[in-house]
Amino acid sequence: MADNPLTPTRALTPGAALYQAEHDLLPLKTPSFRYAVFSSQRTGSNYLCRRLCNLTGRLGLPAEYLNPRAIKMMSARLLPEAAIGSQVPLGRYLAALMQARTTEDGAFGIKVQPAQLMALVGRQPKAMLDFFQGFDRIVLLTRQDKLGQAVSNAIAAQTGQWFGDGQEPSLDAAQRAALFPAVASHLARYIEEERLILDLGRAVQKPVLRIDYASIEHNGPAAFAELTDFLLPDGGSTLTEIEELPVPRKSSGGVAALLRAEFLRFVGGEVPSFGAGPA
Amino acid sequence: MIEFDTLCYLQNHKTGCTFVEQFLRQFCREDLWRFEKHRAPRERKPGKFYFVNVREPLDTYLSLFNYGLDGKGELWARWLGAGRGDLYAQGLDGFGAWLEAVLDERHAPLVYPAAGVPLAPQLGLVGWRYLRLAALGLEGAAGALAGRDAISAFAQQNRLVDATVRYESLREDLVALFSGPLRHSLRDPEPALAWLGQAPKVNASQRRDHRAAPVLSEALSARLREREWYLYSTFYSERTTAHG
Repeated sequence: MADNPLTPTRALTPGAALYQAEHDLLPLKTPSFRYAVFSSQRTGSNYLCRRLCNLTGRLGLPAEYLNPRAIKMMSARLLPEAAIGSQVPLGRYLAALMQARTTEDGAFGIKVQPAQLMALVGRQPKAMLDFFQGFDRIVLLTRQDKLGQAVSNAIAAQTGQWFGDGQEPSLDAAQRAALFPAVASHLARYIEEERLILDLGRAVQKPVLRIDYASIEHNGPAAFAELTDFLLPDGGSTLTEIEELPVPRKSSGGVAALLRAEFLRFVGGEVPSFGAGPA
Repeated sequence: MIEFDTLCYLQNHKTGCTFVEQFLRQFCREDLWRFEKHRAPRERKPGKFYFVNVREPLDTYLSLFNYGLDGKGELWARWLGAGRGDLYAQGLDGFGAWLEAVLDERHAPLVYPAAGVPLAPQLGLVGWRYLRLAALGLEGAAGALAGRDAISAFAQQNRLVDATVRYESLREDLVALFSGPLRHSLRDPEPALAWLGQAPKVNASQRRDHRAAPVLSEALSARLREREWYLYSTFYSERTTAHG
């Protein structure tokens, strides 16, 4: 039996929960300010975007609205005339989406990942550039420590914990070793994606701000303040932030550090030891 | 401002800043961190080289006025919004009246951005536009600065820029900068420096005063020098403004 996108049968991740009708902002309105956060996975986008979502009446509800699951859930609700299962034109989807996710200040925000965008507009840089021309401001999120990014994604995919809750995941040595191919694959992808993100940042003739994960890790509140300063260039009233949506919390990073060290030893030619193992 | 790994260029209105931006976008090998055209930085980042442009004030005002005659620019839009489209109705012949209006500090709320209004009685628009970029924190401190000495001292103590490029020698100054302290930032210095010598201007206003520069009255000329004292005393002390 096919999923009914209006009543998802699978448990919703914290990210997908944001696509539900209860988060639509009524009355519908056309945004006067649009911004996009362009990033790979594991660059701190959940931390920054959740905090933006928690600003009362300001700066939209930025989320991965180009995620296939978001398109499926939201287009079924926002474009009821569109047949379920058929391809919804991107322009129509975005127009309807913007109307439902614009906050009182007239702002709309969206988080865009390269793979999700390419699935919709193709791999041509011109098509991607055209997509971003529809926004007033562009935020680029990167992670210079791409091995850390790849390790983080491999662990999240394995454990299903895409939103950190401060708890350290549990992975034994054999489970960590099984992630080496995934780490290598993510690493290659993130190197390519970062090039794409930075090239777009240089080409788009819009105000651009790049934030690297290292600065979020070093001082999250300062990175968030830099982001809001960029998105609100004229200042305005004081921002009110209420944690209605949970903001990710970092764990101690012990498992990630282990996996990183083991992966480096592995690709350096040294096979890690998993202990004596079964007799 | 357009900020890369090791350099940050501060974009001053009507001083050739789009030309420099285009050069950086095309030839700088470094990653872009921030682009907001006329933004003034809030802090100095260690290890970064900051530079800005400056242009002789009368020439800047002529460019601004011509830009308005082209139907462009924020200042033009503000005058129009205030019902003063008449300032542009006479074409180039109206430059004197327009300049008088722009230099008149009573028009500051219209002519200056909000942060600059407190300083308007003491500093002309073009000087303000330069100093808000070249001196860190001027926008916040504007209300507390009384007198030329205080402004000069603030500018000196809070100097942000490592170099100021003159519009009058834009290409030569840029070649010197990118052959010297910023050479490392170029992907391929040779074609980049050649481009500086050949590329046409960008975003330039259509100048109507090439054949006959407007002649200012002695009083208006003196008024301009008085209002733009900072730029004239710092960069253009040798210049005299044309007057009848």
